Amino acid sequence: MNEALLYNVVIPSVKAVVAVLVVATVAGILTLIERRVLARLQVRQGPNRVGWNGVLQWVADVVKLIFKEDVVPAGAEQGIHFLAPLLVMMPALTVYAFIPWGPETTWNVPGLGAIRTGLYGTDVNVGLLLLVAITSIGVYGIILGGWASNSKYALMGGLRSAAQLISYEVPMGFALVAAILMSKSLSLVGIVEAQRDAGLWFIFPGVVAFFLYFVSGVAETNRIPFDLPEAESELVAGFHTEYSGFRWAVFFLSEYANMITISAVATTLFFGGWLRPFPNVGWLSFLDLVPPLVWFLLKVSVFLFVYIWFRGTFPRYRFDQLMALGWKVLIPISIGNVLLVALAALWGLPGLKVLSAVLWVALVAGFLVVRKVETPRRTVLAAGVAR
Amino acid sequence: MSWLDRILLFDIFTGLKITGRHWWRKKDTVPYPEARREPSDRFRGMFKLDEERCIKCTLCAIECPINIIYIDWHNEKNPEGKAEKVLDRFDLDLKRCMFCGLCEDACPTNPKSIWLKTKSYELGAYERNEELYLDIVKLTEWDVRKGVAIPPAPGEPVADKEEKKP
Amino acid sequence: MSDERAGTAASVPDSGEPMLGLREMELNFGPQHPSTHGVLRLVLKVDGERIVSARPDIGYLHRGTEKLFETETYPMVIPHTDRMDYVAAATNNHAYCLAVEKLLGLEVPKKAQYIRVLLDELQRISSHLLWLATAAIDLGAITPFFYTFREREVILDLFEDYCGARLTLNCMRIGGLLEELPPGWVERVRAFTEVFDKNIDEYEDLLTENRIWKQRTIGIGILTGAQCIEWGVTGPPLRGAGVKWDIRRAIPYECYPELDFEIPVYPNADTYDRYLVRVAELRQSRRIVLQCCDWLLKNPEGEIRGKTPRVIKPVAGDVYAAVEAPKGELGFYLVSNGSNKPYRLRVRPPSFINLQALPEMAKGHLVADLVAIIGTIDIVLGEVDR
Repeated sequence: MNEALLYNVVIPSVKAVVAVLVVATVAGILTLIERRVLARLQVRQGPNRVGWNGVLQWVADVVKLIFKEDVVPAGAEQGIHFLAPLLVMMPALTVYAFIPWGPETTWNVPGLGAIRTGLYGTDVNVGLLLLVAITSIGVYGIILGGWASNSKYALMGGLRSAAQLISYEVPMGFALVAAILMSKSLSLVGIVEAQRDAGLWFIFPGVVAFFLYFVSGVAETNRIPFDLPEAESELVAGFHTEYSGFRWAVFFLSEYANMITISAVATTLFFGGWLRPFPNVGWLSFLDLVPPLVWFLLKVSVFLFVYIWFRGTFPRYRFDQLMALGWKVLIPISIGNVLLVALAALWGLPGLKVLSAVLWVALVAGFLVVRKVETPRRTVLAAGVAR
Repeated sequence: MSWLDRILLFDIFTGLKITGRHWWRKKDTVPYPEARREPSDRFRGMFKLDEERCIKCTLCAIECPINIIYIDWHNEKNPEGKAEKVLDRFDLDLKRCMFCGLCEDACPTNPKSIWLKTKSYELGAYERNEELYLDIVKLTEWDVRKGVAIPPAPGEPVADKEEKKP
Repeated sequence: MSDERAGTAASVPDSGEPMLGLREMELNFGPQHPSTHGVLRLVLKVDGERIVSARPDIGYLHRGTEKLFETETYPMVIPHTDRMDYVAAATNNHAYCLAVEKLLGLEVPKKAQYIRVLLDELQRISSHLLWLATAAIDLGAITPFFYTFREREVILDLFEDYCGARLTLNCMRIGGLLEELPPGWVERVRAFTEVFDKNIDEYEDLLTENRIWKQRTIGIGILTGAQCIEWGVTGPPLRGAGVKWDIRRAIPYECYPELDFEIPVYPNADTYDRYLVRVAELRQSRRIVLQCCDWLLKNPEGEIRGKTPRVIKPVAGDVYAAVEAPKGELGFYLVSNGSNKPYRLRVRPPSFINLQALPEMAKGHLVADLVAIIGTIDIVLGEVDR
């Protein structure tokens, strides 16, 4: 086969199809996993009827949603109501074009010979920028969906979402800037390679950036404790109150795809992507027996678990408190962090190492001190004590 | 909350610790149709009527707060020539019943002629007017038809109980 | 929803209003809203998300219970009282029985008094657990629900062992109780209560110090002590506003004077303090249950029903009796004309009266806070509408 055709058309197409199918399937399975994990945290059974121990529950859900009646409320903006779920889903899936799942590898395909290609759609040299740009499009779908539904609850959900997503883009952007400063690359593959070359996952010097990124990521994906746009007990279901059937499923799918995206990007930027722990320490090389893809998936699943764990633990912020947290706490911290990381990065690798040491010593010391001077957690020890 | 607390998110981690700890706890719910929980001895469930013991005093119908027990009877001469009350109708409108147990309380016979302590709680039906309207036959024989073993009526003699056990 | 686009600029008619058309939006909150605790409907006037006014629209669960009482003989009323505050049936039974006993001048045996108090306090624990569960869910924390229900389930099992029902107990009779305690029951109550303290610690670890929980509750829905008294609000909202008023101590009934417990009072009158009051009450109720268990273990013999006449026909007259229900003062005002049925039986339901203060509490807060406020007054619509 023509080499150019093979590398420019066939392989990318195969990758695109595989990526979309895998992500859509994983997002479906993730709903089941979430329910089971939550059930376990809440000492109950969880779905266990369909298939062995409920493993096919997500298939049943999807089938049900496809065949469910698609209700469009009277007075809704038909076109936009139809368009909104697609506007949310397309960016959620597009970003998988350049999220790296593994390094460049040689595949022996019968009939084609050795093909050398990476476990990613393409290595865009401004990948991170493109990622931020594309994921921000998703908010349009949410606002428009909320507005077009002709429902006050949906409208309020959409408005909340707009404010929230735009506010949290800023600290998230600054957290990404810190990662870029450390790796001196905008390409996601380049960032992983920078971590390999430095022999240092960027979580060590970038712990603050990682924290900021993850918190903003939780807010971006509308998950507890920041799930205001769809806050069930306040806005019924927020922006997708008036959606049903497969359109609702598309919203749902996008939310889970976005969760995977955030986890994957956090893994790539701060946890060395597909690298094994301590990629430069020689005696740990037996860890290389585990393929890079598995390392990557393991790290991503840890983040997804944390997402679900959060959901099982925290109450929900109020709208204004959420904005205050974003603008008054996260943005100042993120700007300070960028300065700190920039100074360290200016010094080069030793600077990053010093920064890691300082940060982690401070963290551990802080925890020990707090444990020692810990005040009673429970204020209700005796009756009638004033606060 | 001290400022160190605020920065280090101690409250957040405490919460995560509590929920995380429950990962290893025993599940508190049971997968229902396979595993079921036995109701206690005094559980007020499905009705049971013993026509033999019933003296047709209609106290249960009088005591019922929502009047869902309908009793009709007439006098008949039994073989010994004595007048005896015979039930024409003993209907219980289960769909309106609130399982307060006042009818059982009111029943003057010992053991009770109508009682709810049958340990059966699966009273679901697809149709409520026919299936949840119990006449004498349904009231006395539902356990035979469904094949469930129900405990003896409250106050039933011990010998009776032992007889039923095997 | 006919004026769906109300509040958006496009829908404002040209009526000389400013072009931006900033006007209040009417929002229908309930009766099918997930966090209105049943079928409460609130008509909100909101300015953006800020509440200008809230008007509760009740009656969706009206069953005419008070009229129904007049058609029933005195013992037949008891099952109907179960269905008013259906998460705290024992206190409902108790309040009604107290009223009839007061009219009849009946003396309840000591043992029956202790069992009644024991049931009341178990019911208070179970009701507060349910409140904690739903209030946490309203604010987005879903997990406390399952932890509190785990303990509530144990209490309901105990109720089932005692009187055969889990929710609508129908466990008290005029002059005493329905049945003797089953063997080993008191020991089981004691065993549960002894470990229950640890469970309360668990809920508190999840919520009390959590920054989100504190931000969501502190300063929300303030109803000062003076306002509470004006509105007739009782129960935890009153004690959370610094007023030490509890029927169990103020107008003692049954054996409460013999028991050692405290009335938790917190001064700040907000949602957080009401939360603290309820959690403290869980601990105090636990203390009472332990004391009742000890008394019952020491005095296993005794009557459980006083000298109740077979047919209850009180003399003509009227009487008011109240108990401290989990939600506040639950009173029964009973008028008798000498027949075997009440002439009039008026209920003073704490939920109904506490709910009336909702517009006052909600004014100026956000829609998200409204959910917290509905949660904090702990309403049961069965009792509000009756």
